[in-house]
Amino acid sequence: MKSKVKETYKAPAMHVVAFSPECIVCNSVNALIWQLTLPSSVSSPSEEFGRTDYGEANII
Amino acid sequence: MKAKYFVIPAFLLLMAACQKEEQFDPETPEPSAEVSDSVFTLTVQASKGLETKALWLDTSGSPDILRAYWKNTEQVQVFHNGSFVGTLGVTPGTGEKPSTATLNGTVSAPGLAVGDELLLMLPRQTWNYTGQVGTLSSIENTYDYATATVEVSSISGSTVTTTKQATFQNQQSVYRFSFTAGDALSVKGMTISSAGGRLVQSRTYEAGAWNNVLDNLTVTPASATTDPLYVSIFNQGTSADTYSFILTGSDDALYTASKGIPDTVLDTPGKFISATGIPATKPDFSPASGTTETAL
Repeated sequence: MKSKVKETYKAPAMHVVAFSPECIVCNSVNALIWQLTLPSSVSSPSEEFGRTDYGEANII
Repeated sequence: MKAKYFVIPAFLLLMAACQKEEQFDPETPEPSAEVSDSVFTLTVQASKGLETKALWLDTSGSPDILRAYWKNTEQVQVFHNGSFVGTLGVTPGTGEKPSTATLNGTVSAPGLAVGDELLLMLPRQTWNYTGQVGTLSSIENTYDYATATVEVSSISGSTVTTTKQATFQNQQSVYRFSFTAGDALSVKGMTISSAGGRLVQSRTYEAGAWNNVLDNLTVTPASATTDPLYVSIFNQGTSADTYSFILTGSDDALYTASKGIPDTVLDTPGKFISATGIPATKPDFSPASGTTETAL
């Protein structure tokens, strides 16, 4: 009986973190963790960019 | 026994509380799904010389040519649906004078999809044309802004591939001015105004739109000079305009000048416009019926 009481007592404490729909801080922390753990990858070059000249002087 | 009476109701209350909370348990999205839709590594190739100067005036032929190059210290900002999503660094290619460079970095663009357009902005989203000193080196360091667009062709994991040929287009023109008042006028200060009130002093890209601040431009050389003054000017109109100049000479006298700017050079930005030898006059502030001395 005592052990069941302890388990039940732990459960709400765990839920508080995970389930509040208004818990913006929790969501932000989760998002941050996801980004930090995102595996990095490198794509192959896909395009060349030019840079236009201002060109010949337009004499006015 | 008293403790037993207390523990059992407390246990029931806790169970009820736990059950009640679970009714509000939100449907938390899978972290991996959100990440794959928002954070990407973007790598592209960019044409660029290894010159450390972004602007180079080629005077070997006639007329002169103002060329633009990438600087290896430059950065490119990326925008998606009007919002800033990341910065790309510039890495020059190999070789003595590589014509390409790689732009790479991470962008965080929620909802990025194939077919979306990315706006690339060099070097930042706030453009300021104030405080110019009349030299090409100051323009290349501070007043040289360009944009390009690319289209997302594929997304694989966190890797974005872009297509569509794109070229960074200069968004302002570079003017070369010099003045004469009999001889070449030595200028220590210059204010430029537009008859159409179309000179952009600063502009900021916010929420997918540009906000322009219009006003006169003041150019202050490091010291009085008869050399041409180079000025970066964003004229928000495309029709003909007239620029008026108030000049402070090395003699501390005020001079005025004006120059018509034809629509042929204002139709598109990014041009090199040369107007040298503009006649400047020292206004006579005396009354029509006398001289300055008699008026005083």
